[in-house]
Amino acid sequence: MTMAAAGQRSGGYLSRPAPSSLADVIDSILDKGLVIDAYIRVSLVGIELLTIDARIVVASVDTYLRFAEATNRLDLYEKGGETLPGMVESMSESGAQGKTRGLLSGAKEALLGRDEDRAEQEQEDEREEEYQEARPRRRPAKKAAARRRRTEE
Amino acid sequence: MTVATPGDVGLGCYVYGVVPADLVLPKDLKGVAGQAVSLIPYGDVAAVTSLMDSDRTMAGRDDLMAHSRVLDAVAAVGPVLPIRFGSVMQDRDAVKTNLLEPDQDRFHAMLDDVAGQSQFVVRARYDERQVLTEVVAENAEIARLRAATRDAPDDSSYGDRVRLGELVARALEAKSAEDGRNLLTELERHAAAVNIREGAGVDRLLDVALLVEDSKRAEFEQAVEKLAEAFAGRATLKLIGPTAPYDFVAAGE
Repeated sequence: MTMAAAGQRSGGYLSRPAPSSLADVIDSILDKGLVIDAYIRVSLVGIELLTIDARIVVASVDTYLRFAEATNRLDLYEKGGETLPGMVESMSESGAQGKTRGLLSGAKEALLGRDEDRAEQEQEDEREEEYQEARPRRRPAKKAAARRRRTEE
Repeated sequence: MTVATPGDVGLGCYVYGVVPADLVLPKDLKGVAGQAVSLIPYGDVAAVTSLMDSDRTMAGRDDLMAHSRVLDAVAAVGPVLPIRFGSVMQDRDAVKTNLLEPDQDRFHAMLDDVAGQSQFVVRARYDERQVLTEVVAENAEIARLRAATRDAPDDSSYGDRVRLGELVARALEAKSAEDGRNLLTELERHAAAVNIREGAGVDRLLDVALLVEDSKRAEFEQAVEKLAEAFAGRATLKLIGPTAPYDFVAAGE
């Protein structure tokens, strides 16, 4: 077996990042691998970082409110006159390019885009900020324009 | 924490993993802090190590990347048992007598188990807008609450918004469970072992590590590509690997 395949970007639908991103690396080495008994090793350094539980607590009011807002944000597209089924269609068309990031992204990715040695609470805040930042990008202006163009064609 | 020994002041041995003693390391492999990586053999197994200042604090990005880069490079030339990130031992003797000697037989058996196989990770993520649109279209109560809350002031619609969010979260869970099962059924056909990872985030569809026989690698990769195509527009698939078998060594007793 060789690493020759690394770096290839095959097919067109499948993403094969090389080298791996920090987030992917963390996921793979976070709590994995053989553990050397504490009494025979000098240190297991950096463990503070790695024991941080970066998982989103899904079942919380805060999270629910975010979902609600994300769902309501869909209205921005609908108000242009498109009905929901029509919207599904146009989204499917735009496919890959319509990808959004932010609210529902993995917590780790959100975290690791930043300095890694933050306290847990700061990370929470960070996500909140990122979410707020993400909003303007989701404003319908461009989308509406794009729709108009399609209609004219 | 460190007990300095004469002639070896402040230098510890960073340990990446365990390999067969006859493994030939890739040339010029650099590890944590840019140190040269070398083998410390004992019997028919060996530890993959590099020197490091044991007072140095780790966990920077570079250290994390170096750890996985070394293990993945070694995995490309032979079987390897990854050791947990950040493990430092006193010196070369400690690696031999405290790590390798007591567990030589166990390591040998574990290396046999992973030989001829590589780990891959498949990460599937929903397109947020697409999946939320599906959820609204498929669930009347969600559509109703959405209509009721979208233009209402935040204060007055608080209860409805919490309820809406909860229903959306549940709907997403059900959706990812079903789509995830379908993905997994296909992926498992090409893998010797699988480890489904805990989820993070709600656009998450599936995170799964797979141990794939080298002889089945091509068909596995084709299968993942087909799945990526089938999910295009709804979700994106990412394939990471081949890597060391991080998910397939016992995580300590």
